[in-house]
Amino acid sequence: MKTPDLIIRDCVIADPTSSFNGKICDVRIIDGVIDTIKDSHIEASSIREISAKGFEMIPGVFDFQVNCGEPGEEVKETFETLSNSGVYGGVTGMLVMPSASPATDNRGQIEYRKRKSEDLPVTFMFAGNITNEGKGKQLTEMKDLRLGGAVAFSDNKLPADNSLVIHLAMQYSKITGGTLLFHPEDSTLRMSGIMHEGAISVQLGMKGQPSLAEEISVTKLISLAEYNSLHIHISGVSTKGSIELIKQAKAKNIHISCSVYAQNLFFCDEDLLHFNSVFKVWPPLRGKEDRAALIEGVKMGIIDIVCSDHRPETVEFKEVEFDYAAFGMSGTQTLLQAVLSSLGDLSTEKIVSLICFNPRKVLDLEINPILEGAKADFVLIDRNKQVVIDKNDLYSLSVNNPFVDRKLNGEILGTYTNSQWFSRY
Amino acid sequence: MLSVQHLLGIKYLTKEDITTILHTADTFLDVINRPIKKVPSLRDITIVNLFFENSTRTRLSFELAEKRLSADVINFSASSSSVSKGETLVDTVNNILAMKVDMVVMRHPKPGAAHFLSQRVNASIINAGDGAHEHPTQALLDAFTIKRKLGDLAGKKVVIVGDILHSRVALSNIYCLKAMGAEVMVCGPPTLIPRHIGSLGVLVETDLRKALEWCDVANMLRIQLERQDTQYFPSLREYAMLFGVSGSLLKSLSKEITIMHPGPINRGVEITSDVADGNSSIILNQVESGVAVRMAVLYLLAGRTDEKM
Repeated sequence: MKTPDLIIRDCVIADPTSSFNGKICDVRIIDGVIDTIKDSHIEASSIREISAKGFEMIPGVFDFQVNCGEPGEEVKETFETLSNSGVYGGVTGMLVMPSASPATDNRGQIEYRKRKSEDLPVTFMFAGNITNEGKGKQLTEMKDLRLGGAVAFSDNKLPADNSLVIHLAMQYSKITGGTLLFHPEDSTLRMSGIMHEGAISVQLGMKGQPSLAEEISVTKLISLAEYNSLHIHISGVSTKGSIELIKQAKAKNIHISCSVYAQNLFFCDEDLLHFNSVFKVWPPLRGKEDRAALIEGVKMGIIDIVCSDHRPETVEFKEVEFDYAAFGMSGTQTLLQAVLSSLGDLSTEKIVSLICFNPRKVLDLEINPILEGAKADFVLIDRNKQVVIDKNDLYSLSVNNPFVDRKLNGEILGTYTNSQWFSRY
Repeated sequence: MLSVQHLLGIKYLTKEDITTILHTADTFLDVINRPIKKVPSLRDITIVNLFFENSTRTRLSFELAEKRLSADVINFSASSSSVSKGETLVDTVNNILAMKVDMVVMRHPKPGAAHFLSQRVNASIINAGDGAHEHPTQALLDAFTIKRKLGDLAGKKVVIVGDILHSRVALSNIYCLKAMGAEVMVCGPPTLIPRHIGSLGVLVETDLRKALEWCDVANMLRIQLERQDTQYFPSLREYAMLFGVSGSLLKSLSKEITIMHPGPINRGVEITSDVADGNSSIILNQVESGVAVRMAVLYLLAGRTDEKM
């Protein structure tokens, strides 16, 4: 339902690109566009007003990596439930990763997904597969996928094993455009590990996945990016060593960006001590030292993006023995609050870069600043309040959100995007 | 009484729990050596032995322990693959419990399975081995057997030799022996020793002779080729050459040591026949202890104390 004209009163603008940054303002929206921002009272009548005293207005969040069940596994998530999860969590844009079955490896698959999601409040962007069926062998028709609307290419969680195919994809992408995303993992060194290799995996008798399996792959991807003089994105880094490698590469001006998943900033391998399969994720939750290094990497600007890697699962796939449980957490609705909780001492402006602007920049999309004349796309949050996540408030069809019943920073008053206002209040 | 309702692993037991179990097992060792090897303690209890992985001796040992306590016993065996394709573990167990079963003894190929089950069903769970996690009754019977042979466990030096990486016996033994004050070393090819094993407070040695010179007891683990997804060492021949204990090696040591093996033995691989059948070996004592220790565990978890036997 389109919301008519609206005035948000007394919010603090938190957008480093805005001349009103840090000021208490009234913001008037007409026809989905920010008409006026004023650091004094906007005189107006007979339109809807929202009092946002104590709340900050930040640009809408872009979740850089999400998975949807549709098409194929609609029981886990549809674009509609994904969209609702997003807007009630402050997320107004998402990059949907290629699915396994059917794969997102031809133009028709991209166009189908775009059509199914185009009228929903969240703006969905799509990554096409790099290789047919995501199997890492034959390149997809990348140009045609681009023409169909793919903004990026990825084989999702396929380990970056086949160096030649990665190399060819990098070369070929120079005529197609579209950001290349790689999952850093050497599948042989992973040694069938289902959690982080460390003292905890020893205690639990579970197969450990060494940090080395990721770091050797990060090294390889950096070399390939340097050789091809191409920007690539390394998805979901999780180890202290990876941060060091990326720091060195960036110092040498090698054009790479990287992301970390919010859960890797919040949890660590000790959360697995009771074999709770909600914490079975890929890459695994690493040790405390790794988590500290990731947080430091975010603060130092080595990590460009924090995203959710939203991976919805139903109870049948999670409520089984740990080994048999599916990998992944659901989390797009709690992304913003998880970030505010694990990076509590970071300025709102930096958080805006990490979860609002950088994801859009890495994909060459326009950013969504809070400026007069810009499309209205924002969230109102109070960082000083804490909320307990209630599973009944989550819109995802999945059961695997790890934050349920936990207290997180950040109360969300509401989200405005695509001319609509969403609020639980 | 124990501090736990289930026996999921040694690491969840207190030292007092272990002491209580070993003390109770003493009584049951007497019982099973009497002309009438049975007591009526659990005659009101029904126990299911739920084995999702092959086992001969552990299953027999549990079954005998249950029968000697006069419990009603049912057995359920299934390959994990058939179960993972169809009925869930929780459904399987709840169906069995609906037939008024009180206790579940479970072996499962995956770590944490007993833990998982204990949080979801209303019965006492005894872990008879869950993947490479724990095999608590094996560790308890090993501790009991060492105690019978050497007296107190405190200060004793025990080396565990072989495939530490895939071994629930090693992990449970480490927890149990450490809790009781013994010193523990692991010895084997570096490819079969977890990188972070030192975090458990054990010594690591890759030279078998040095390990044997150090220890009072050597527990020789079975090489489980069937459980390995990668070839972790070149050949059984070379393994036996580097990590097998022979009679001549034992004789060449500066002192006598005790040899254990959880079975079944690969004769000529972990130990030669003269060692297995020799005076240093307490392997068959381990098997005898197994029944007494499992009786003690079942008895205590059923909440029984101080009955006249």
